[in-house]
Amino acid sequence: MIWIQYLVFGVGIGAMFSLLAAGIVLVYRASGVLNFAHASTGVLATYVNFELLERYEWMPVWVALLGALATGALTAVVVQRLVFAPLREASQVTKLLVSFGVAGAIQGVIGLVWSRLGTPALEKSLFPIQRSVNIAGARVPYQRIALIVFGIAVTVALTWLMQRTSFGIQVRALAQNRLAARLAGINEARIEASTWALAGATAALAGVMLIPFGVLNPLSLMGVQLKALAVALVGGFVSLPAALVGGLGLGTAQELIAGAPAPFNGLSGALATALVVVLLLTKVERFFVSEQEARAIQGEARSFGAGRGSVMVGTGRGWLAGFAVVALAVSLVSGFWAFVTARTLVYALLGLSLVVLTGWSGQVSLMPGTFAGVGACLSWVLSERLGYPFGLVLPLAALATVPLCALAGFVALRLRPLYLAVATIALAGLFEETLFRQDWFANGGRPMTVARPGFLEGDHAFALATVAVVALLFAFTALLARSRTGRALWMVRDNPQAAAAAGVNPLKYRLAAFGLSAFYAGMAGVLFAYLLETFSSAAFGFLILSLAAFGLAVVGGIRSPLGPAIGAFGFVFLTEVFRSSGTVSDWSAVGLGVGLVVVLARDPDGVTGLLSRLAGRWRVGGPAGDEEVGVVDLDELASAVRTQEAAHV
Amino acid sequence: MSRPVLSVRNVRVSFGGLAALDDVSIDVVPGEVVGIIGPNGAGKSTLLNVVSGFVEPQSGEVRLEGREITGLLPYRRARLGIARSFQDARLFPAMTVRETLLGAFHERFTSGMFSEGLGAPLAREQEDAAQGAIDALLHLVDLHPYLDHRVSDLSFGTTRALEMAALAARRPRLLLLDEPASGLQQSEVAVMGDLIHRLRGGAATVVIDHDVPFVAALSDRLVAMDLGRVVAVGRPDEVLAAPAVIDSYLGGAAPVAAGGER
Repeated sequence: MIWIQYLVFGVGIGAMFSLLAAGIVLVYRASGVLNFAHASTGVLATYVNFELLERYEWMPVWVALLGALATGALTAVVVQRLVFAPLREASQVTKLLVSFGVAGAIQGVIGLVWSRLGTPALEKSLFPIQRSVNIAGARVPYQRIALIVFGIAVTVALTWLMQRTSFGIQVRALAQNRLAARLAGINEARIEASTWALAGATAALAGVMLIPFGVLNPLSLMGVQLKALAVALVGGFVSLPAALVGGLGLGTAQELIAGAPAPFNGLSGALATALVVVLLLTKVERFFVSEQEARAIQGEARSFGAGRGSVMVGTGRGWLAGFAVVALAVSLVSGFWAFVTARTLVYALLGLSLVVLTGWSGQVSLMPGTFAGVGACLSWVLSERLGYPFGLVLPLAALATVPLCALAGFVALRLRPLYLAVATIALAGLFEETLFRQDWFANGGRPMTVARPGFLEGDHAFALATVAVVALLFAFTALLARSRTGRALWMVRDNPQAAAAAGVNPLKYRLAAFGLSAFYAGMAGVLFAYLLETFSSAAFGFLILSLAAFGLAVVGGIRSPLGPAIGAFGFVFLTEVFRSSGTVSDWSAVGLGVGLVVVLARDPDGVTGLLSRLAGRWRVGGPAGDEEVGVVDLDELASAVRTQEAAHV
Repeated sequence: MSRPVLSVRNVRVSFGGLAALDDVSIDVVPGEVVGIIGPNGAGKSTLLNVVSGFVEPQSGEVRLEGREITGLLPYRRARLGIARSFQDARLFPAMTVRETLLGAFHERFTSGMFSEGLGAPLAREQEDAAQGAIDALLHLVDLHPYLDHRVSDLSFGTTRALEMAALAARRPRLLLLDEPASGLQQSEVAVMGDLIHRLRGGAATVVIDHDVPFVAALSDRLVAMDLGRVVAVGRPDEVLAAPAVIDSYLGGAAPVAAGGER
């Protein structure tokens, strides 16, 4: 009767997927924000719940739950008011990326607060976990049943609220036509705040109920949230009934597969991510959502706001000269700082892969860390299993990353911007749960060791080699920016139709951007592997590496190679400098998160944009980035038109 | 009569049962300017999209200098010598004027990613040649003061002039202008006509616009369309006097005002 146990577990987990997905759907409908900070809100509330229970022994679990629900609701409302209300007109992709920043900031705050207080114990769960009831011969803890009852009941209640009440109608009106809804007298601010509060409370409920089965840490619900995103996607992030069906289906299938005999049970983790990829390609949401409604909420397709100034690119020679200075500095400092410099440069290279892909071709990919992981694993395969020397491994592993990652490129070409971002999250998960666990590819997820060649054994020598490789790739990129290829990428990013009408093949350049970006990231992975010498594929997880790389590239300025260089310096190098205080990684998470929010909301060119505007003001007579060009009468232009015929051009 | 540059034969396009183009045939001979007029929904924009490859016809064929181009992707047609403007004149908002003009020479050069990134001599020569070519272009349209400004910072009239310059840079065989006067002030419209004549460099040109006097003054021949059909073809004064044309503007159909089609 073991399968009954799996079934009950599966339905319970599935109900929690649905509950989290429902919160994501609510917020998406009201504000057009695909809120990646949803789970973090729940985790914060869960911390409060168990902190209260630990501090005040007399407190009934129900009272603590009320405290958690209030925390969740309040956090969500604060985030909405402070961060997303000013971003109403931003594109959905920007909002998604901002929510990553919010998630990072909340996680950092949790880390800062509870590293002082100590993580509270998960002793008093809402319903007993130790005691269980006997169902058809299977032992099922009470809280497992509670998951099912609460998850389904709350999701159904939310569905009813959206379909049948005046409140729900107002939310839907807001989603479909904000201006018309405003004119019809709907109090936008109140409706949005209530929706976020409701979503935050449901996240809190999910956290308090589900986390006691696992461990409590700032990243607790992240894996579950990825599945909830998959579930929300079933209904195009809009339909609640679809989220309910999808959640229960996914949870059940996942647990039943986990209970299957050996070769199949490993597939359970990959199920959700495979589901996302299939859903995205089949556009399943059309069964639940009218095209019109989906498009209304989807809003503007523009993927990324452009900054205000022109970008600083630098020249090839300039970059080589700059890195020569870095090389000189490396040879003067201690081995430890040489190691830190090399690590900083690897991050900068990873960020550079995003400059080409996101900054220049406008495709938001959240899997640079995954590409780097592929490069790192390939270097292990080539050097340790096939016995190739370092000189061959370095270029081969980076090159071999390209075809593997072309898969992502082919998926990308078919998707709308928001869905592309979601698809890359899913693909990152798919790589992590399949390829990164293979014995032949990643040593089954166990640590892998690669040996540096003799002449690069010391940290100084290896750091210098890293400087050389990274310098060449930065110079290569800077030259591209002043060439036919760079301009073609920008044309396709800014206006694909006009680019095609000018003879540029949009597909070719989108794919080329993916290829080049995969090569850079793969190379970063190879360098990372040899820098660490012992590593495991888990280090290249989406939540660990990709988000950091994306955040530092955006904060630095994603349209200029200077951006990731500045970002990596700030995030990796300065973090080492300040490591003396114990909570440094939490502070850098908060810093990166807040930085991401501020940059995306204010000036998408980040620190580089700020610098170039300052430089423009500095240079007297030079074109300043801020300056508006006045309205020019066409007469003025026409008087400048000479009498030659254009045929002489 | 010389062989037509553009030959559209029996083209049909329908969007969900609604016929946007119903058996339309048009020829454009070398050097001439053909204006297409008609009320909203006449199919003017659709015709331009069919020729430039953004809309595929359900039947019929499009030939460029005798070569069938039906079914080719837009960028392929561009390389065969078709240049078109867009109603919105959005161009490339985050690029500078200089970059936009250089981008117009995309098809004329061959350097690839690797030769450019490695700074190979070929790539550098081509880049220099492109810079030289935009200097020549700037003799025709003086955009010097704006070279390093972003397109999104330009006034609408300047953006239109830039768009025309970028089209002229490509020395097209066939120039398609989609409402070049829309959004311009009345004083600017006349100048735009002048600009078109100077920049088109003798290329066969098709121009559509709601501003009938503007199109009529610009064109050697007029094609009048209504509800997806060609209702009159000929010299501008003949076409404007044709009863079918007057009917299409004043008859049972919705009244037409100058302005955007969308």
